Amino acid sequence: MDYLALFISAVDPFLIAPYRWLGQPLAAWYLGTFILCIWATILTEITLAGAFYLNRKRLREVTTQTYEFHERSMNAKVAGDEKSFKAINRLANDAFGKTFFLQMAMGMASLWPAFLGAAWLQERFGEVVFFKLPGWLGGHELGFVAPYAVLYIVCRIIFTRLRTRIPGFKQLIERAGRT
Amino acid sequence: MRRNVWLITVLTLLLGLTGLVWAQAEKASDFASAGAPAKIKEAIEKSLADQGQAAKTKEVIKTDAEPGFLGLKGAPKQNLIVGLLWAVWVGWIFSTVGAFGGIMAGVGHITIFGLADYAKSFGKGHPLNTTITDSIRVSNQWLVGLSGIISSFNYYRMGRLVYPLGICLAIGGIGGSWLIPELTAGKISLSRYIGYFGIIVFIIGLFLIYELTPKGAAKKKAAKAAAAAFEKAVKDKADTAGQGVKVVEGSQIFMWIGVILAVASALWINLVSGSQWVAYILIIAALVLTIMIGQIKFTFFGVEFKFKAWIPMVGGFVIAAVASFLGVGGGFLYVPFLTSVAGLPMFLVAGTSALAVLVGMIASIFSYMVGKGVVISWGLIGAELVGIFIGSMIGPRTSKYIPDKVLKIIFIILAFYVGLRYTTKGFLGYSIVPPY
Repeated sequence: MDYLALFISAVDPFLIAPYRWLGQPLAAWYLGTFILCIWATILTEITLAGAFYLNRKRLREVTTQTYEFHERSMNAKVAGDEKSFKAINRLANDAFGKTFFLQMAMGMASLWPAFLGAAWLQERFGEVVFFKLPGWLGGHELGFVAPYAVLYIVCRIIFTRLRTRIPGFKQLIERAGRT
Repeated sequence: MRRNVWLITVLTLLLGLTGLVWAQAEKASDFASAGAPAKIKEAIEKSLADQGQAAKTKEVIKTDAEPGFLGLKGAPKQNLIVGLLWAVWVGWIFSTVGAFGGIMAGVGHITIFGLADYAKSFGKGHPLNTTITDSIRVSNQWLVGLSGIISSFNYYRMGRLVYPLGICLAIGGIGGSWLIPELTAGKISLSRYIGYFGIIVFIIGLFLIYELTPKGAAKKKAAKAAAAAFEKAVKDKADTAGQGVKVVEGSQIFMWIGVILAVASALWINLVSGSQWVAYILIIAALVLTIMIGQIKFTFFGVEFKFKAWIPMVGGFVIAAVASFLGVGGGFLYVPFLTSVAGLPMFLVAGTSALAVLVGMIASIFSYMVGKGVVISWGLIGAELVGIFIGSMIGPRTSKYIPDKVLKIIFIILAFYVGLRYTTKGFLGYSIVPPY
C-alpha cells in the first residue's frame, strides 16, 4: 500500500483550496503556497515545542555536563596546563556530541511538515516552470522548490517574531523552555 | 540585523535553486510515469541509445507495473512503515550515542528500502544505476546536513562562531563539496559506492574500539582526573572582559576574497555550461589566497589561540569531499579534527563546525541537484524525519538504562557488521555475512 500517495490524496482537497481563491494563476499560487508554509510552520513549531518539553531533563543534563567540561578545560588553559586542556577538551567533545546530536535530531525532525509539503507540491505542480535563467547562466528553468523555500524561510522568520503574541503559543514555548 | 538578512537571502537563493531539476517538462516514457523527474527520463533515454543497456532497461523495468521509486515502473515502492521504523532507530541513535546516526540513515537508504539492489540490477555503468546511486547519496546528505541549518543559527546567536575559522573551513569545504559531484556524479556505480561506504564504517568502528582498549580507557580516566582538578574557577575569570571571541591577527582581505572566489567557483561550475576551467582556476586561487592568510590569532576567555589558515582549509576540503562522496561523515569529523589538529576549544569549534557542515551541505546538494540534476524523493525524507523525531523522544528515556560502554559495544558490532557486509558486497560482489 502506497501510504505516501494515500496521505497526499487525503490532504489534497484541504491544501488546494486556497489556490482557488484568486483568479490570477500566479498570484493564486503564491497565496496558496504561503498558506501551505504557514501550516508547515505551525506544525514545525508545535513539534519543536513538544520535543524540547519532553526532553527537557535530558537536555539539561547533557548541556550542563558540556558546559562544565568546557569551563574546566578553559581553566586549565588559563593556568598554562596545555596537556590538561587537551585532555579535558576531549571530554568536552564527547559530552558535546550527545548535546549536539540530540538537539539536531529534534530540530531537523521538526522539518517533516516542510518536506511533506514539498512532496504534495511535487505531485500538484512538479512540471510547472516559474522562471528561466538567462542563457549565460545556463538557461536553467526554476521549478516550485525555489519559491517554496523562499516563502517557507520568510514564514519561519515572521512567525518567530510574532509567536509570543499568538494565543496559546506563548505558553507552549515557555513550557518548552524555548523563549 | 542587516547581516542576518544577507545571510538568509544568500542561503535562500542557494537552496531555492535546487528547484531547477524539476522544472523541465518532457514527454512520458514507457518506462516511467508521466510525473517522473526529468533526470530519470533522461537516464532511460540514454540507456535506450546503447544496445546492451537498452536490453537491461527492458529486462528490469516492468512497463505494465505501477510506478515506484522516482516514478520508475516496477521500482520498489517506498514502504513508509518500514522507512518510519528505521528512521525511529536512526533518531534513537542520534539522541543516545550521537554520531553514527548518519551512517544508519545511509544504511536505510541503501539496504532497508531496497534501493541498492534495484540500482544494481541494471548492471554496472548503466545510467539508471548511477542515477539512483546519486539519489541515495544526496538523500543521505539532506538528512545529515539539515543539522547544520538548525544549529548554525543557534550558535551564531550565542556568539560561538569564530568567523576566520569558519571562512577557512568554508573555502576548503566549498571546494571539496563541488569537486566531488563534478568528478563523480553519474560515474559511481552502486557497488563501488557501498564498498567505500563500508570502508568508512570500518574506520569509525576502529575508532570506537580504541576507546575501549586499556590505553584509550586510561586516557579518559586521566582526562576526568584533570577535569576534577580544574573544577574551581580561576579567581579573575568572572571579570575577564575578553570572554568573547576577539580576532587579533589574520589577513581579512585575503579571507573575504578567498571565500568569494570559492563561492564563485561553485556557482560557475553548476550554472555556466562550457569554460569549466574557469571554476577550477577560481577554486585554486581561493585555496592559494587562504595559504597566504598565514596565521590567525584570536582571544577567547582572555586566552590567546592561534592556527595556520591552511590547516582548517585542508581539513574542510577533505572532510567535505568525504561527506559529499558518501553523504555522511561531515558533522562528527570537524570537531575532533579542529580540537586535535588546530588545538581549539570545543566551545568555539562546535558552533563553527556546524556552520562548516551547513556550507558544505549547501555546496554539495547544489552541485548534485542543480549542476548534475540528481533527484530525490521529498516524501521519503519527510517520512524519515517523522521517524527521527519519534526516535529522538524515545532515546533520552532509554539512555539511563543502558550504560555508555554497552552502547559503544553495540555500535562496534554494528559497525563491523555493516562495514564487512558493504565492503565485501561492493568490491567482491557478494557479502561474507548474512544475508548473503
